[in-house]
This record gives sequence, structure tokens and C-alpha cells, in this order.
Amino acid sequence: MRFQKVPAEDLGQVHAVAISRPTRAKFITLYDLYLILVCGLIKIADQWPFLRLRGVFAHAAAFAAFQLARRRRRIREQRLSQTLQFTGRQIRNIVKQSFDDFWHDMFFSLSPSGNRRAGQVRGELQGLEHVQEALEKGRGVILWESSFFGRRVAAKRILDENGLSVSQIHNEYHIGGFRNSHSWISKHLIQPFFESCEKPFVREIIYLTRSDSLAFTRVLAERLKHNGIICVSADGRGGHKIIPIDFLGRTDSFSTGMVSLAKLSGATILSLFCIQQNGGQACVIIEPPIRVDTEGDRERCLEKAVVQYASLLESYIKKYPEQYRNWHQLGELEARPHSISA
Amino acid sequence: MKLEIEKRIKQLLVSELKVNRTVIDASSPNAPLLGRGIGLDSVETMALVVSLEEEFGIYVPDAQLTVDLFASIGSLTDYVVDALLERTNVSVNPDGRS
Repeated sequence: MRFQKVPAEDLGQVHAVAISRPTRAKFITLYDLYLILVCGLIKIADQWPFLRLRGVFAHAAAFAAFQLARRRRRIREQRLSQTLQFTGRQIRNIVKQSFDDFWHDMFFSLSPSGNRRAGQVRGELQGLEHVQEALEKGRGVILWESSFFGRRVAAKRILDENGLSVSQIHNEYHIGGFRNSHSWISKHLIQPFFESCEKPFVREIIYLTRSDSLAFTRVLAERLKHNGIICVSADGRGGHKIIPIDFLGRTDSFSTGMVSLAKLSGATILSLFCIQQNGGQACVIIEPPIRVDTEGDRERCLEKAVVQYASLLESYIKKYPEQYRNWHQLGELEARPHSISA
Repeated sequence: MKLEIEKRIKQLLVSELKVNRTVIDASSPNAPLLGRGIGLDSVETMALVVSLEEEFGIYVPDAQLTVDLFASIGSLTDYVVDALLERTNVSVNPDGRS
């Protein structure tokens, strides 16, 4: 089944739902200068027609980052050794690969010009039938992705290539996986840059602002009512209600909002993972639907659904540990004896 | 009227959102609705609003759909009471004359 594509002029719409409270922010920070450099390098790489040269560039950036980020390397190695049964050498290799993977993603997935490069290998999509079956029910689809695992922009490109136009949900400070300094430069220069890399492949971007407004819930419900596809992070730390889950040997937090949205709207939740395979090709895998119980204890129903996702994510991370980008911040919550196991 | 509305809100929490009846019965009017206390998430608050709109014939505009509205069962009850009174005033004096 080929899906109706959104007309090109409607692609890449950006919506900000609710109004932020005005805050005093710096004009620019040192971290912004680093990000400006990154954006500049991505833009230069975007213009290069030779993928092999781009690969050399990515390796060089990964090498420099690996050498400079000693503290982060150390924390990643520590967390990996606590979580996975690998030798010290294997762990060091995984950490090194994680830097490589990140910078390859930056230089190969992000294209501010929206170029679909000639010679670029078309990504693979597995599990399209789950989306088709869900859309046939007419209640919309919620695609759950991870904020910290896999290639998010590449995933949207692959979905778009397969006729799937999604409404992408981000928190208002999202800038392609980097930390937001909340400066003027970050808001007016850096964030728009990363937004331009994703906009060509999505129907719209909906930013959830950190104001007190809950009006965004109506927007999301409206999209699903029209049998739309919304794509949202399952392991971001936003949300008014988060629950602790045992995850990779620690306690991490997951929000329940999308489970409630699925329960109330009848939408299907599908887990989406975008991995980098050997050979450089990105592959999007859409797993079978998350089971959402509508009867029984409410809290338990929410937890069961979230645990299904956490369990899936954990299995992917254990298989591709170098593609997980949150080892250094894993498990910020204290472990609690009553937390639910993935 | 206020007590009746509060009672109805509690009934909707149980019937529409499947909140545990014992949690509701044990909650005071000051019990928070969002996150803590009753423990709704943002989507459930929207569902509650939809139920209230249908039940009482009111409309909650986006500008008023805020965290403050769900500070407690009491705050939500007050909102509904005010909305109903405003609707009554409008229907009695549609052109603003006393």
C-alpha cells in the first residue's frame, strides 16, 4: 500500500504549541561556539559529493572528540562495565565506536540542504506491515523512538522514502541530541540549523514547550483522530508523570503520556529503532504493537506498556551498545526497591 | 452545587479514567491531580476536560488548559462552578443588560 504523501509545500511545517514564559538568557556561550563549529562542519560536509571524503572527515571528528572527552569516556566505560559482560578491551572498543557512530550520524544523516544525495544508499525499512495494519484501523499511530539510541533523522528520511509522513514531536530545547545552552544564539541560529536537517522528511515538527499549558494534548489527539502518525521519544525526561523502571541495571524514568494517549484514542503504539548496519546502511525496524491494556488497574496498565518498550530498547542497546548515546547519564534516579523491571 | 460538581468530577475520574476508587475516596479537595496525588498525566487531564465539557456543557479554551487548573480537585471544581455561573449570566443577559 502506498500512502498519500503530504504535498511538498506542507512538508516541514513547524508548530510550537503553547507559549513559553520569557526568561533571561545569555546571548552566546562557549558551548555555542563549539556547536557553531559543528554546524559549520556539517554544512561543509553536506556540500561534498564524495561520500568517502565525508567518511574521512567523520573519522577525524570522532578521533578528536574521543581524545578530548576523557571524562565522558571514563564514565561510559564505567557504566558499560557495570552493565554488560564484556572485557575491558571490548568496552574500550565499544566506547571508541560510539564516538565514531555519533560523528558518522552527524555527517551522513544531517543535510541542512535536504539533499537526497546521489549515490547515497537507500535505507532499509522492516516492519512496514505493522504501520499499514495500524493505519487501516483508522485511529492513528504513535511511533515510539529513543532520544538516545539510533539515528533519528535517518529514520525520518527512511520513513519518508517509504511514503510515511510523520508529525515529529520534540521538546522545545531539542537540538539534534546536543545540550541546549538556552542562549539567544542557540534559539535563533543553532536550533533552526538542526531543524532544517529534519524538516524535509517530516510533515511537521511540534515542539512541546515547558510552559504550564497542556493544550498540546489536544493537538496530538487531533492528529491521531485524523489517522495521522506521530513520532515521539519514549525515554525523554519530559512529561508530568514519569515512572521509575529498572533499565540496564539501574533505575531510569519513562513518561506515561503516550500510553494514556493510546488508551484514550485507540491509536496503536509501535516501537521504532534505527540502527546502523555493517556497511554503513541505516535500517529502520518497526516492532509489533505495544500491548496496551484498557481494563484492570490503571497504574499497572501504564507500567506494563512502558516496561514492554523499555525491555525492547534494552535488548537493542545490548546488541548495539555503541549506538546508545546516554551511557554517561544512565540512571539518574536512585534505584528503588519497588521500581518495575524491564 | 459545588459539592455536587466535586462529586461528579470524582465519579468521572473513576468511570472515565479508571482511577482507583479507594484513591479518590481517600483524597481531599486539595489533593493534586497532575503528577502527584491522584497522579494523572497530561493526556489524562485532557480526557478529564473532554468529559467535563460533555457533562456540564462548558468549553475550556486552550489558554486556560494549564497545570494550575489541575492543581487540585478543588481548583477544578471552582473552575467548573465559575464556568457554569458565567454561562448562566450570559444566557440570562445575552446583551449584557441587567
